[in-house]
Amino acid sequence: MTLHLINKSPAKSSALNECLSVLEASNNSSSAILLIEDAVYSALKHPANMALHEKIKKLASPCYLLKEDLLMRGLHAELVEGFTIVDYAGFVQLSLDFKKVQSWS
Amino acid sequence: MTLKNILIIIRQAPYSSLLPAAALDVLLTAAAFEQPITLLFMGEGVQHLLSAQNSTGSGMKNISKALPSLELYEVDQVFMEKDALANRKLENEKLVLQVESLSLNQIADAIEKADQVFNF
Repeated sequence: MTLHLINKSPAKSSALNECLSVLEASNNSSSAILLIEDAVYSALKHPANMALHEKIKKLASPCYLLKEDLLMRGLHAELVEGFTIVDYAGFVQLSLDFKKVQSWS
Repeated sequence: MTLKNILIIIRQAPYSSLLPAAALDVLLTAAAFEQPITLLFMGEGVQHLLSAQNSTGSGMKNISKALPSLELYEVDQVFMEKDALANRKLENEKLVLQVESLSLNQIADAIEKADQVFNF
């Protein structure tokens, strides 16, 4: 029951990849990932993101994107499927719904 | 005082940023308050365990020097990600501290069991 927060671009940081590796190996699917700030670039249909998208597609846990950070960066059209978009209110609700929140720096 | 199970994960390589040193500060602070602490080196973070490090002249803190004395602070739960050294062809290197390995599945469990996770 952990909400995993990631805020770095996948081009700069292995945080999302490492987080996915742990969640893939986990026995329970009651966790979720929320991508904020530059981590929203992970949802772009860029060839470099393909391996990440494959992992996310197979994952039982949901993967959320923060709407405000997407809009700020002008990203809305070219996102791959498999993500759920939440706004700040949704972010607050998620942090209440999960037992704990951990940020992958 | 309520005890909290604290898990500190170090994933950044040595000398890459100030984060690993900050992780050690968090660890020692929590240890001073006698909180049960688990320390885990994951990914590039396993390189903190290499004993051949020498930061003399760099002005940067070599946190590996502090690792063997963690036991004095009653921090005896120190682990590394299984295969992380082998994946880097570092499995035969001398380490500053002998630590047990955790599989990704066990790491997922450790994250779920902790009350608080600090991920550096």
